[in-house]
Amino acid sequence: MEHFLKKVGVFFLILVIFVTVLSFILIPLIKKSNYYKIESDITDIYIGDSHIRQAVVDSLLSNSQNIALDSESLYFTYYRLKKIFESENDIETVYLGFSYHTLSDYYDDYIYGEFSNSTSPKYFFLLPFSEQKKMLYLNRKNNYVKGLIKNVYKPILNNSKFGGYSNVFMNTKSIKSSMDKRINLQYYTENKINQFSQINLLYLEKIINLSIINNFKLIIVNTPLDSYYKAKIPIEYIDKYDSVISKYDLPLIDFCNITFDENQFIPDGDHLSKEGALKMTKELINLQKQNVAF
Amino acid sequence: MGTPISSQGLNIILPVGISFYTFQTLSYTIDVYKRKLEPTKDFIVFTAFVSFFPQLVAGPIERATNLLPQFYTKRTFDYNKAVDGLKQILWGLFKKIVIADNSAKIANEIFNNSADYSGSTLVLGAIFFTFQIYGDFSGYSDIAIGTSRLFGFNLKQNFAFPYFSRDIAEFWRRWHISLSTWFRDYLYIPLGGSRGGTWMKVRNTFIIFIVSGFWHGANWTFIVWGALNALYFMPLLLLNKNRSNTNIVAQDKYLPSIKEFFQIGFTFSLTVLAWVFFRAENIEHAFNYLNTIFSKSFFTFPQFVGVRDALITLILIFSFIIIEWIGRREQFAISKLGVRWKSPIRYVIYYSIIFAIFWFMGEEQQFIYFQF
Repeated sequence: MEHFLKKVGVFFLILVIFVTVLSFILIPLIKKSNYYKIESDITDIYIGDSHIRQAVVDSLLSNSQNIALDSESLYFTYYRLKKIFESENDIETVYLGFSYHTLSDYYDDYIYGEFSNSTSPKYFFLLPFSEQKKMLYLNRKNNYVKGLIKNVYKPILNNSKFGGYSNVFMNTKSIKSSMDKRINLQYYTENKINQFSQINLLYLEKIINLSIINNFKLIIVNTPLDSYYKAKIPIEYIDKYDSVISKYDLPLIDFCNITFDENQFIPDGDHLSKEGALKMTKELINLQKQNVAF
Repeated sequence: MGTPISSQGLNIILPVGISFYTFQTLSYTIDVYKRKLEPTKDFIVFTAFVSFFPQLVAGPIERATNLLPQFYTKRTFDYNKAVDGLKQILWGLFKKIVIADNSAKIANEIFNNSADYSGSTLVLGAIFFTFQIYGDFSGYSDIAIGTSRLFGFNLKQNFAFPYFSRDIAEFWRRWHISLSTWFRDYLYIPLGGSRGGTWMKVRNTFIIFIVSGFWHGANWTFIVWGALNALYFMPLLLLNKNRSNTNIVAQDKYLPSIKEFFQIGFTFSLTVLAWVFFRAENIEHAFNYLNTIFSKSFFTFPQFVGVRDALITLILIFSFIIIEWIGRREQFAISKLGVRWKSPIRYVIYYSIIFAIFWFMGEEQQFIYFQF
């Protein structure tokens, strides 16, 4: 038994030493890596969650990069932008995805709630120490280390980009039952309308302040919605959205005012299909060509 | 019994593992009654047998004739058994965490939104569920058996590479062996078994499979799943071919023959279709699911949220199938892997498996069979 225990001990000791040494090598690599940086000739970036990610085909736009990422709330967007603007860049305009659903507190679950473990590791090294401690504590039962390995070490080693245009949906269309499900998910909990996300509202203000400090133009983008879906959004959210935009006098491109066919959406009526993304990107190009003052 | 079964189930809070230890203790009672086993006078041994922790919650359902005597014999530490036990635990963790949990993510996405997806996507969903349930359940069994080995106990093999079966009868000799042999010995044989003519055989077989479905839960989907497997079994039973494939597939060869390959593929397809009922929320969901599979949309390219994860999981499943195939003659796939190699190379293999477990570890998914 002693021989067995000794062998098992040595086996795991080798593993622990290996992981420790690897971590000490990788942490400086993360800090120096280009994973969170933007290429030098980029003047326009598109940032936000999956709505922007699936909607803006940056390869059709000049000097532009879509760096949006699924489930990214404004809390995380703020820290990403902060990191980006810590280094030299040519960015003049930040197009920020901000829609009605962004106001809902269901998003807070991705920051401090039950889905924190699936989102926050990606941004861990961007957060200040106080927020890192909070995340480690909140996710203490979720094996946060594995999240860090999967969401940070792995993409860096693979030389991946942090976010970016991604849309696999072809030949799809919005479906009422899926839209109903989606509305329920984003705006309701147990048949009651969700509260507004104070975290997202706070970090929207921080992003606005960041734009002033770093002298970049911030333009809000409200991605298209199927008309059935839009009609189902609680009026409180429509009003709140309008009041936030006007409170900060934010330049807005509202794609909800442009008609998109049902086959330009995916079944949830809330995200665009590939076809929809092409249409939206072309509309964006037209608006930019016309030099519309947003 | 004249009591209608609610399609909603009973909604009663039950202790975890009740289906397993109930059958386990029944085996003691029945074997004592049939004088196959002397009743034990040692209360501690009996309670240890009933509550043996590695297999209490989700099996394997052990027979009193196998496990009870082991509590009486003095066990000394066996290095090789302990090492084997650790390897089996490791492989069980790999099956559960890497194969089952990753397959579950995709299967859940597809099954929970099946109305939105094409037939080809739903086929993928069913395949992922097929590997989810195998990885989940056989992984748990491996962990249970491996843990028992550490303590010097020998539990029976519960899964013998069932997806390499050449016909449905072989599948049922290799899937959840402890439950199917329990039903054979305590239900099928007392009912008359294969004696008493064709009608009795058919009746008894249907009873076994339907009860097996019912064991999983008071939901019509499990009962239909059981009945469907009985239907699959019938041709073999009626043609007396249910014991055609009792050896290990491609026993002395590296690869299966073309005939064996198609037999495996056909049997696998049948089980995948049956699993749709097992996984579906209700009968309507299952039939809608199958309707969509067998529609024109079967011929479209699969499209769903998480395609990239699905591709990675498919690669993992493919690698897993290769390792299982190589180790199909053993109690578990990596039992003899690298035994003739030097220890540093073996360590590299084990570290690779551990690394894969951490690397592909996703959101924790509860063991499916904890609910039974």
